[in-house]
Amino acid sequence: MRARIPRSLAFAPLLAALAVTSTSPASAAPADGRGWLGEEMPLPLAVRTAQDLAVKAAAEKQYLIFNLLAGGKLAWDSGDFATAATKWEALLRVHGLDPEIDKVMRPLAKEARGRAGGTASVPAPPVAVAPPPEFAPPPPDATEPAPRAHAAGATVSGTVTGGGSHGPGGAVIWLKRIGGETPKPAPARGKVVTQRNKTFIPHVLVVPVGTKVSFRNEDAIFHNIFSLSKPNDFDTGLYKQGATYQQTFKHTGVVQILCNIHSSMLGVIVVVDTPYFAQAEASGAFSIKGLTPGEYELKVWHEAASKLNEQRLTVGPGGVRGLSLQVGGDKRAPQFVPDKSGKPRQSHIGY
Amino acid sequence: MTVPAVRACAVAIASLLVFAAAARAQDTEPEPINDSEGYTPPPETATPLSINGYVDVGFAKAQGDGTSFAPADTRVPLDYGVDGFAPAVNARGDAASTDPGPGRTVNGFLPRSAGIGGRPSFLLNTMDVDFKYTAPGAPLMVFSRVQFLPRFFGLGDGGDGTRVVVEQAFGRLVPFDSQELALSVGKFDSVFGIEYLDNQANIRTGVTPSLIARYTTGQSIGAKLFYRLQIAPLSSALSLNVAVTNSGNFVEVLQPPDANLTGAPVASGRLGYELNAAALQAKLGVSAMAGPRNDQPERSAQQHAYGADLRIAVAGLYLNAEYVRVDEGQGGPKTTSVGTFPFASAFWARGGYAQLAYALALDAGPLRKVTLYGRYDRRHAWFEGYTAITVDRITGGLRLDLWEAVILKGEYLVNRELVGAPTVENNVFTSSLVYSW
Amino acid sequence: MRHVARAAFVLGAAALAACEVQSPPRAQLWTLADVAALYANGAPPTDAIATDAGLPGGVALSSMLNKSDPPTLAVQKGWAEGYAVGYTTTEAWTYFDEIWAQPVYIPVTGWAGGAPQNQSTEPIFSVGADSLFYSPFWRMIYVEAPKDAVKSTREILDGNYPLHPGRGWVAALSPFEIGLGDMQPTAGGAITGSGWLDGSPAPFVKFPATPVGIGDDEVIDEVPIFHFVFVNDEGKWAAPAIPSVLGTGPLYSQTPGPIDSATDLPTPKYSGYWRVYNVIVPASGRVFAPAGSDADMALTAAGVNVQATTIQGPEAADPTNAAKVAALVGRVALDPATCFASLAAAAARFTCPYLESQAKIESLIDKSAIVRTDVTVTCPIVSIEGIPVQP
Repeated sequence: MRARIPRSLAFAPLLAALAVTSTSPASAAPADGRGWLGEEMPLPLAVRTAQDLAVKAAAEKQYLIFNLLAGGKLAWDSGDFATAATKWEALLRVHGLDPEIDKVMRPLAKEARGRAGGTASVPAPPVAVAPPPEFAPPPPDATEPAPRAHAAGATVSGTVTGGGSHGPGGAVIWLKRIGGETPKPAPARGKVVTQRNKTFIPHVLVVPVGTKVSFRNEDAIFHNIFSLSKPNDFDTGLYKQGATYQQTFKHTGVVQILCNIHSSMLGVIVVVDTPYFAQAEASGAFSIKGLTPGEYELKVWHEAASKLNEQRLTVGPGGVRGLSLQVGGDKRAPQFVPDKSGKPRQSHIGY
Repeated sequence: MTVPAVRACAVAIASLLVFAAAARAQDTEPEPINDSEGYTPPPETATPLSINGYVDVGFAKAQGDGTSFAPADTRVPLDYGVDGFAPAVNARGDAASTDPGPGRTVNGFLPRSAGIGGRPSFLLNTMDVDFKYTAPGAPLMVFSRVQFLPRFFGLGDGGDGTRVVVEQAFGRLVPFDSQELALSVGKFDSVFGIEYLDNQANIRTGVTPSLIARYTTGQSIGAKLFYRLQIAPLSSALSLNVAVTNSGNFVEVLQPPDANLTGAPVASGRLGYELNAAALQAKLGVSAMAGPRNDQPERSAQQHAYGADLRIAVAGLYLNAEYVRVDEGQGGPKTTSVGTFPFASAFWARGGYAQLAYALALDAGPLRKVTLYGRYDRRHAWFEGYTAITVDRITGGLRLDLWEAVILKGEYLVNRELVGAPTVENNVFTSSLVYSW
Repeated sequence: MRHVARAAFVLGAAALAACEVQSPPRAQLWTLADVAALYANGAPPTDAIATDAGLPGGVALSSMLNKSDPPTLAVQKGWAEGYAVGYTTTEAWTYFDEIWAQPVYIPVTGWAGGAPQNQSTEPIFSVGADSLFYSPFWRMIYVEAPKDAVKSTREILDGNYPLHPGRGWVAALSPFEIGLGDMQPTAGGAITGSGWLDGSPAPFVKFPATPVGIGDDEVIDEVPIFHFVFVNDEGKWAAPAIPSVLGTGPLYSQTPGPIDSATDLPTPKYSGYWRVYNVIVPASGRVFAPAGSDADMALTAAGVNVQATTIQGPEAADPTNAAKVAALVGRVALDPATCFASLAAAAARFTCPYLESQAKIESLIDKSAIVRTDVTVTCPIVSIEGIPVQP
């Protein structure tokens, strides 16, 4: 995948060029050799359109970040730890600060304050909230990557009931934003479906799209795991005890997994394209973290339900607690599971 | 370094820092904010007993009087000179009619009759209930299949009333975790050939069985052993399926399975090879059966059958083909499910079929799959001293799979008498609606 | 697990080996082809078939075919309604409760006034002699078809030719053109011919057809034939090869024999499907068997000592009456002193307590001494008192 440079940083060369060529007083070299640090706002950029305004806001934001970053470093180098700490603490309060910069500078800011003799007053890590109006981000366009979800945020929790004789455990709940873009989920790591005693463990697994799942055979016999659920169909072929096969699920959907040798083996992988998902415990309890307030479409899937449970949900800043969801129990386990050619098999025959 | 140079250098460094930060941000994915380790139901919630089944309702119309008998044929017995199984109307192989007419004699070489003659009729073919119990903590499964076969009286046609049939009831033990070895004892499917795998209405691609199914798809009581060896480097497997039973593979109307009439069991078995590649699955097998005929009491009256089978599945195309040859010696008083007769004639048969089906998976509302299929059957048979007959059948049909529980099938059978048997009008249109639950 | 499996196998094998299942006797059919095949394999004429169905000694091969090259039909002597008859045996069955008439198609070129036109001499049989459903009793069906157009049942049925049911017909399929043997020079009684079976030539020998009773579902009526059984020197039953008595109808039915229109006398059923009954002759019974006669040799061979060697009186000793005396050989009398007192008494019918007809046997022999066997035979009568019966 090609690296995509955030738009905010795409102007770095421009900033560099402006810093070099500008003759404004803001760019005049200070007498202490820091003349290339400009601290005066706004930047002298012509604004004739709304887009010019957005560009100027973005440039000023990056300009501010740069000045605080570099200025603090210069102060640190000269032993002025108090100034360094002040500048870096201000840097860490900038809305929308790149997490990588935050990661690098936070400990430095703390140390600077420590050396300056004061207690650290490092602000909390930035949260994904809307920036101040003067630094309003530009309107998104098609080339803009989806915004990242952040761990902090509202939580939706509750209990699923129903599921017939199976009980509610294993129900998959997921949320997608209405009227906005749902953040792209990060693929999960380290997901394993084990074949043990001719069963799939776990029996039901939910993963974000793009997740690589390992199928590991712990039985002393061969297995041949496959799925006919398009477009996530796959076939591991025969593999023996101890061997592992990896499959990346690139499409959303419910993936029924079977063994071509043992017709009693049945499992499910639910692939979702949202970072807001959870799987109910045996009691039906679930919790989904990291949501931003707004309107969401909620869906609940259960292997014993013939239909998805769909509803709208409004998530406020405090999240939603005690949500009660119902799933049906009307769907029976398939009487015949197919072999990998699609031919149904009678499980009592056993081959 | 001059001030402008310092400025340019600092800016360049800042730019590099910013770019580097941006690159690291793209290479390192953030951790998902929600995660799940999956869910496995606790063992105590597993239901050891499962109950499934199906209901098979049909509509059929046979030509003529629904039999394969020629009206002017007065030979005794009438069923030796024709293929009474040809005008089949359902998955059980019931014929539209087996009524030979007044004053005619038959000797039990006949299927069960649906009793509809040549009249178009709806049929309730089978109501099936399957019970499967998987013992917790033990490698044991118990399975039984009970079928209610509604039939009606009164047409003088051999219809024999509603019956309840325990088609199968057996226990299966898998003693070793590391081996694909299973031992079954009870009443179970044949091990001969491959058509028994498809002999239920909700499994079979089409509606009716082949002309040789009567020799290969019977259930019997005894013990069965299955073993399979996987050959991973070749994506292949070898399997052996052997059984020792009361009656072998013949269907119940020809040889009753419920008791051994001779005191000596019948042995049968199949040796199979499977190729389970990703794009192609192919299965080959050879089968054999030997033992006394279980339609009469003499051990010396032997029956032998040999067969070969082939299945290929590739890209939605399914090819099934099977060949069988049967030899039966002359025996004593004959007992079939149709009745008791004074003697069992010697009998030979050679036959086979080839079926090609194409299945297209869809997601068009309730329609999940469309399957188009065709089959060619041929059977050459003769009773000792009687006229040898050769018949064939051309079958074409369409199957629709709706939702996940409903199958609708329709097919047309063109039955032809090529040699020996008098030419009769016995083609059949039949259909089947199967609801599985 | 292996030890358990081995023990189970041993037990199972032992159980099977110890399982002596008594099978019910198997229904069997012997035809002329079967007897010819036995001769071809070296069997002597004294060998017998149908030995396990209640008839002591079974049915000797020599009673069906003479062992000659080629084999010829054997003719035996019997009594029917008091008359000496000659009959052949072409089929023997054991453990058949019933046999059936099969259709035989007689091609004709036309049908006028209820009568066939230009009847073919090559009938088309519908069932071969290898089938257990074969019998020499056929239902004639005339089929209007062009000459040589049909040679099999399928061709007839597929051709939708007009069919006209006829009467019964008696013809035994034979493996080759059978010789009439002992029936020469008494011409008549039987004729040979060749027809068709599924398109292949089918030789046959035809016998007098009337009156063959064909009942419901084409089942052939059964008529008793009585074989005399004696207790031999060893205390066992023996059925020596002396003339049997051919009956007229079911046991105790008092069915009269057909009446000859010319003589108004009862005549035998010419061609019947006979069930063998053993008649246990009381100790007083004697068989007229002069020394050296066939009957004497048969009795001696069976270890039975019941010969009455002479008929008293001068007429019997008169050489000019030798033929008359010879005609009486094999007669069984319960009161030999009276019945063999003179030639006149010996030759008379329906007087002395001879066992010479079904009616006499039923009236003179206790019911318990008439024992049904599971042997049935075809015994077409080919001559009466030496006169051939016209087929």
